[in-house]
Amino acid sequence: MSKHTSQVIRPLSGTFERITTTLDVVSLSNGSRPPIPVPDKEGVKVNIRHELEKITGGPFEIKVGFEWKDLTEILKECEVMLQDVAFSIFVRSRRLGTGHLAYSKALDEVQQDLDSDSNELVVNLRNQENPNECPIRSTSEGFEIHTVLTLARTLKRKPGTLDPYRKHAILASRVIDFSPRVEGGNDYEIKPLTKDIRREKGIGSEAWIWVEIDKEALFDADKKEFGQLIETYVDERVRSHIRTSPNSPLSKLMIQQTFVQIINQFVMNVSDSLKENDYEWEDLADRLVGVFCSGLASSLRASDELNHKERLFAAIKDSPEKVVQKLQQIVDIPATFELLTQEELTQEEVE
Amino acid sequence: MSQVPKLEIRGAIKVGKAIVEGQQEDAIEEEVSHLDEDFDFSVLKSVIKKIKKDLQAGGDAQLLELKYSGAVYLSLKDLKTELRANTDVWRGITAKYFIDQVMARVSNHEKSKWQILGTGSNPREILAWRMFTRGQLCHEDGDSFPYIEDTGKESHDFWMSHVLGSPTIAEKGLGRALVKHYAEKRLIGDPIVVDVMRPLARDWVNRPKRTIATFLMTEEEAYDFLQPIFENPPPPDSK
Repeated sequence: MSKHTSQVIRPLSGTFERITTTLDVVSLSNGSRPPIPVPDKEGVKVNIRHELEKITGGPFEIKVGFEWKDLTEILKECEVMLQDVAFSIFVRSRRLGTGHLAYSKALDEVQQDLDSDSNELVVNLRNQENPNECPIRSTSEGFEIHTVLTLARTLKRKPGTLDPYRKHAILASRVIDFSPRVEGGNDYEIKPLTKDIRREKGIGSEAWIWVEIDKEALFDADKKEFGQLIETYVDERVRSHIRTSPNSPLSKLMIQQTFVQIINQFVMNVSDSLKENDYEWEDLADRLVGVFCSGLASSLRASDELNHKERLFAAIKDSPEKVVQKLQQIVDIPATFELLTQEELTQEEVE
Repeated sequence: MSQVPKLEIRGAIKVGKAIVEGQQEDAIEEEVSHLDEDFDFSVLKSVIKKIKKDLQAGGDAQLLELKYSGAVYLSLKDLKTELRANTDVWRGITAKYFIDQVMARVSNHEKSKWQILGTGSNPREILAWRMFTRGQLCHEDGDSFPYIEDTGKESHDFWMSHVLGSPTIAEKGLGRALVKHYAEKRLIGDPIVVDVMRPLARDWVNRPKRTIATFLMTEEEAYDFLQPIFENPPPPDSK
């Protein structure tokens, strides 16, 4: 039987790349032979590709490419037709306590659904019965996508062989896990601070982080996401350490410090610009700076004097050092940053 | 409309300690903050009023948790997905609205009951989350919640270990069928005890997930699938 593996998206992993996972299709028996699929160690591999940026980038879509030649060959060896096998995608979120079937069709129907140009299957991962209920809004919420090949419901039952539940026996499966927020899942791209970048920007070899902010865009009404105006580069050795042992105390400290640095730099830059232009809250409440103040204020304690967006705005303008000092006290700064990067500015949210 | 409350783990521990010292109101005021998100909590408040009344009349806190899970689900089901995925929000709701239920647990039992405020990282410990999620699983059209109460006072381990704390919670067909079988056994006077439920769930619910796509099952299929083992349960686990 196929192995379950997981692909965990961690902070500092860069943008989501197009990855290929493989379903090891096992041999399948029916009729006079044992009814339960029997593992075949030399089974043909079938590639199923997921374009991860589509999953988290808003459309909540997954693209699947089948190696039809290999797949039909092994099914033929098992004396099973395309219509006897179903391909399904199940989305599960334990945090939300929900799961739904995003797609389930027999392989002959899957062939008809393929995109004529790319020859790939595009599946919307939303719950079609309740489109508002989509466990995937970001990688922060912790969810899994199961892609499975099973015996189809339509496979005719032979007396004494296939019990109803065995119609769902798994031939092959893959699970893609997305880490929950508490583990620091984040789809903001941290770029490598390479030698070329150091040379280009005049950064010394000892610097481990470089945060670049597009100050012009800070107050641009069209800019709605932090990713559009903050670029962060981190030393490759730091990135490598975090990738190798993401749960070590040192890695957690590095992640924490990375996001502290990003937000600190942001505060200092905003402060300079606010003073230069003498902006007031009313001028910027509907801009990214307003969103930043709202999001950050809500991350501070109820008893904190800066736990109010307008007071925080004033503090950033008048005494940014005080704000920076306060930010160091936020326990989960990566999560706070993630919250800020996921803010979608809408007029309803702006008072 | 009110702002959505939130409470971090560290704050939940402080509120828990304050309950023992009788200072919980100050601690909640101090530790619970609010998101820039509004939600109508009026329905939840009226549910809480009923729970409080039942508690004052001597109702058992665990049974009331089962009784009102459906109502809690209905009162909070319109919370945004991203808020429902945020454990800080569930801690905040528990501390702000469910404090009487929390108090009933802490004063009746031991300090470890603080965990229902969410002092650990697992959301199943958080009272509001588990009431909501239990209701979400068992909800049927017409706003009925069959079998939740029928699982009975001794069902805490069943819910926590085999439903709320298991991947089964995200499989509606299998989850509902499991609750139904468990409740039916109790209703006919032949309840499944903890030591039997553990091997049953391990060997007949969780282990088959390796080779059977249980998440594709309808409730009826899952019910048929589980029927043989509930008719002839395994021997108690000696481990």
